Amino acid sequence: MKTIAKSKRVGLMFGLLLMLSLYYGCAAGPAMTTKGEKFPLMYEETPRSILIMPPINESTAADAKEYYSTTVQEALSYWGYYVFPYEITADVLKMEGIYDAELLTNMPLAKFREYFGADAVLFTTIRKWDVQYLILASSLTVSIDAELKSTQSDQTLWKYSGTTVVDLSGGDTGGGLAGLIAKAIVTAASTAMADYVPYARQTNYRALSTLPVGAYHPKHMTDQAMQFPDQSPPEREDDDASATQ
Amino acid sequence: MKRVSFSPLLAALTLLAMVFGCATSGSQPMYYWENYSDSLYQTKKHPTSENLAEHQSVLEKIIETSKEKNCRIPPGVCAELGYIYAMRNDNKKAIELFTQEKQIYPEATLFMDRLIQRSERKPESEKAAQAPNPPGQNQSQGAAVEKVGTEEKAK
Repeated sequence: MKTIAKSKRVGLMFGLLLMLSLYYGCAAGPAMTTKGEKFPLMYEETPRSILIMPPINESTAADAKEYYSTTVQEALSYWGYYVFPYEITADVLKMEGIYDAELLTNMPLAKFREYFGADAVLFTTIRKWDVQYLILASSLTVSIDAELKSTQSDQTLWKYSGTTVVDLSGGDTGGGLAGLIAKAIVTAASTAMADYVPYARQTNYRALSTLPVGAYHPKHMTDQAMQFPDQSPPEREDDDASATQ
Repeated sequence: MKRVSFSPLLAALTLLAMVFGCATSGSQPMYYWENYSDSLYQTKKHPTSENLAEHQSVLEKIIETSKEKNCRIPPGVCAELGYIYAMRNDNKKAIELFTQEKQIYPEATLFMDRLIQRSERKPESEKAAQAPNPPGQNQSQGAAVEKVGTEEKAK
């Protein structure tokens, strides 16, 4: 009996380790930091509500902004914040002449506290949203920067940039040159806008994993010690590696 | 840039771990969003009346399921549904939903009160009419907002 219990426990431990290594997959790579260390202002100001700004689109895809914006509210809610209904706030901002968050660089964020009651404002920038067509391997890249700023102090509370690179070429279709051409056609046809959205979502979830959780999350104010790889700005390559495999 | 192959399994696991793993205390998910993002995306891609109606029914379903499962309705959902009603000048229903949003999330109070006030000013009914709000003639009605809000709640 004891041995069975023991082996069960070992199995459980192994499972737990596996989960952890999946969760922190790239632990061996860059230096680690914690939420508390990296984003202390989040724990000082403890914002409860977040207003999502219209994304700034720096990519070559004109539609990216509208499509990407459909992926943020739901994702952010799981981190325990009150997230203002983007479908309404985007309309209000548009009526106020704010369709591009670029226009806000000189505007004091206190305005958003006064009008919406928002504690913090989330700025997102779509850096890349494109496909590289190569004969042998095409890849899709979604690259997002996110920054959460306080409407009290105008300070940056949290920021992250994340990239997801997806190899679209799939399995070997065989058939020599004809096969290659067929594959290229399949790739081109399968990279409609729709295909980006799941990867944009995936990029969101990975980026948000470093965000301290808010008041509606059971771990509120207890996740300071959670570790993640430190992100020094120029190391985009590391992002890609952790994004994929 | 490095090109690396992508593992859907790993992505799915990470996603699951992040969404459900750390977001819940028990076995129940934190929120029921149904297929909100997908139906919203469809309304952006093809803003047909079918897709808009479909998105509305997703919002209704989120509210229904959350109530059934005794789970908090996700942030913004009641407000967004209320906004759809407000666009059709179904102000009573709109105010009801805006009020519900601020009852669930006190953080929303200031903004919901603005929306309630705006719905208050509009003529009731004529659901097909899309007449925009006449601006600047509604200063005195702020006080009535709370009262209407409570009446809606009482039903």
